[in-house]
Amino acid sequence: MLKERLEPLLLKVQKPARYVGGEYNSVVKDRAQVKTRLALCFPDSYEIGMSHLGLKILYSLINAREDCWAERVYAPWPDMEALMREKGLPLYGLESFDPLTAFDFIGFSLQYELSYTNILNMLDLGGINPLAAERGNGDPIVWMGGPCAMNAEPLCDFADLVQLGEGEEIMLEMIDLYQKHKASGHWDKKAFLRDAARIPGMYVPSLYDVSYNPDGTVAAITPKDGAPAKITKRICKDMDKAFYPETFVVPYTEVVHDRAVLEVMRGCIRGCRFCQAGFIYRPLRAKSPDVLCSQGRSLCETTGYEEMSLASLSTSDHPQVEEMLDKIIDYTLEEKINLSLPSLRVDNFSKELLDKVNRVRKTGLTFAPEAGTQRLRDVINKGVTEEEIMRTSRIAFEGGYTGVKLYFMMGLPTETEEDLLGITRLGQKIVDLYYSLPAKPKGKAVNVTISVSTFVPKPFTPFQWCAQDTYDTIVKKHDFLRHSLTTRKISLNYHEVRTSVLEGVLARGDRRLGRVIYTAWKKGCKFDSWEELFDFDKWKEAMDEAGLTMEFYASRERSPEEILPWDHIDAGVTKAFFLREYEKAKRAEITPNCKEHCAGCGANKLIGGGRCIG
Amino acid sequence: MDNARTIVVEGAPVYEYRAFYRKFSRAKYISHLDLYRTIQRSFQRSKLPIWFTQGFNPHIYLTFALPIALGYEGVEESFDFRLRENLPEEEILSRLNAAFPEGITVTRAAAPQKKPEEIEKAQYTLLFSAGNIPAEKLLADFDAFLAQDAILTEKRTKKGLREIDLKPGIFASQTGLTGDAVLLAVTLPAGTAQNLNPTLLTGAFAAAKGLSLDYRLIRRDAVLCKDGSRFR
Repeated sequence: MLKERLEPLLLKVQKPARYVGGEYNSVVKDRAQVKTRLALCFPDSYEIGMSHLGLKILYSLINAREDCWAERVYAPWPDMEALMREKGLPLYGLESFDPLTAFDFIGFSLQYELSYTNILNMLDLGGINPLAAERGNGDPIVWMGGPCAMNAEPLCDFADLVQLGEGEEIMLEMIDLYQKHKASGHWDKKAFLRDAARIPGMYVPSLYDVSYNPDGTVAAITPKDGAPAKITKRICKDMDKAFYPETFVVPYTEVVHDRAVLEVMRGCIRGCRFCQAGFIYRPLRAKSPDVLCSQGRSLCETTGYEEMSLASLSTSDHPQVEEMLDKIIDYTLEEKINLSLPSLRVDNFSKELLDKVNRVRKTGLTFAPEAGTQRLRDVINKGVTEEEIMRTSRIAFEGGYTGVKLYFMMGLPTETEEDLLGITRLGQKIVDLYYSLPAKPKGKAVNVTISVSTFVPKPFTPFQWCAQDTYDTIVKKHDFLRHSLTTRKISLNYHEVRTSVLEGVLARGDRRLGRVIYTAWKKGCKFDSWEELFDFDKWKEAMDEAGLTMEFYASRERSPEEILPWDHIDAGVTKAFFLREYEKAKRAEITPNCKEHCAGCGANKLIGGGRCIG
Repeated sequence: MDNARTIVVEGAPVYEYRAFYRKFSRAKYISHLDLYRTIQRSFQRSKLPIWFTQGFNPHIYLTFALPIALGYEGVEESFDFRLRENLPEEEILSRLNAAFPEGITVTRAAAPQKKPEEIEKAQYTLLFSAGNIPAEKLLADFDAFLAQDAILTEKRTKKGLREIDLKPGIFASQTGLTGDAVLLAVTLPAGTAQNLNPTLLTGAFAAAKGLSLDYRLIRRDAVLCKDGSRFR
């Protein structure tokens, strides 16, 4: 058995607890008693994959079915992978230790573009050909889902199925269809895929032909064999009725998010124009406070977690935020559970609730103005004002805080040197504010941390047509920003720029990038989001060999008439709305949030029309 | 009842226990820090009336007399904890064991008898092989290695790498063959004054011979006090 052959390797690798399974609440079933086996793969390390809420939900959802068994699979770290390849051990499910070839479905969660090579590597390590066209009728079905599935075109060479939107319902429909086909006695994968394309939200890449213009842009996307011309993402209409796990698998070894996570809502009303999540998860759907409380209680009691956090894009925008916080804080204080709260807009809170919120241990003061001037914040529709930041900082400093973290993006559309200077200026104003306060903490220096990431235009945002700043431009802007600093009270952090370039290429990529990903993987690329393992030169070679350029994908402005590689995907929010927003952005005009005024984005059709909120 | 040591904290009685547990199978891959967390969470799940430290950030009181290394099985390992009520041993054991993950089983919970400072040494059993090298040859080489007057190796300490001689620390050792693996039973210093892990010894052997050892078993069998009795 695989488990025995693994044993001698485990003391030779870092953190072997990642590879042994057996964690509390992990689900082990009898192979003979289940009809369908699914591998839920996260294409990154155990510590990251085990922190992901989406897969926890799907794991519990599928395992609640008696006829199915879902297992977890993560990318082994290179030290473990090398030993597995040396000894001929295949990648396996953590619950059964069976190789990937023993599963009916191999699913991948697409959370970020730089995890794509790990998908190929995991399939290969599991004994499965990464290329869909070369897999046989009896090979497992490879399916994918998650936010990056909204433009899965670069992965079309590898996926049999792509699920769009939220997985709770479509997953079960897919399994039902599979079982029906299997029960018929003559399994034909192609026939199954054709039928699967009729499930709303199910995208079968092989049923679409894509042709290109001489300039490399998409000429046409043509469905065949009865596949729909547009595939609309799925959502759970009522979050109170949506499936939520009663418990989580509790890892032996520490993972990134090692706590009870309560998903308070999906969607966001803010409409920040750079934010893909803000659009693809629309419309806003919240859970009611009582449902949240009972889900939180169940999670804490069954896991023993001493910490709980709230997950959403903007918790302050929960329609009943005060009642919700009031109840959750009461519960966690009574049970000695540490609640980690995000930065909240506390303007309308009662004195009593504010006191309660303040009793919860605070993590730190962070703001995400994203841009240095009000003009540019209007361009990106980020509704954070300088006044708000100064007011909150003042209260925090007077309460004993000495540090503030500010998050910015660089390379935003229409950005000028003035906007970059605005970043430094805002930092300086906060430093000055601190020293102007009589009630500041005694004898302590202030520290303002400025973190700058590179803006990457994403599909399904108003900036999907924009050119991304080139590597050279960003590096120049970094230098400019660094030289504008005049105090050591401000520390400046940058993200690695090359990874952002590749992220930009893959995010708005087309099917031709499949060859590039394949070649890069063959050259040894994996764990591309880990700076110490990222090898940009290999990616450049892979692009060259495919006769493509990074500039075409990343730093080219698209015209509104161009057919975008993801135009056959319907995220609810319409292309016309994005275009409208893009034009408003160029004029630095803001769009009010959904609560104040419906901007007609189109996502309301997913819940049957009408107002989404308010 | 005397199955716990009663202490008084801020006017309220608190009952201190020493639990003895076995650590085996997949749980042997839990590091000490992770084990601490795992046991805290198990206490939360068990719903025992566990005592929390007083203060701004209350947490479950839990201490280990002698941490056990990652990869080691343990037969009679221990940790101390406190309850707000004095409960019978059977109830503590059944509730804790129901809440522990696979590979950790509590076998006793009673009032602490010895102080952690009284720990002097520990007994270990190891089984190892090395690729295709015949076990007889590996055993002969290992015996010769142990017979040296001094066994020098580098040990990672808080002050960086330091060269030490393992030889004087070996209280007792016995070697033999079990199937195709070398068996080593060894007693080494343990506790706060000096602590030597047996894999430091086998690791020094592997390094000297340029070998990569495959461990089949690394187990701490007993923790002993200066007077020769078991740590209880």
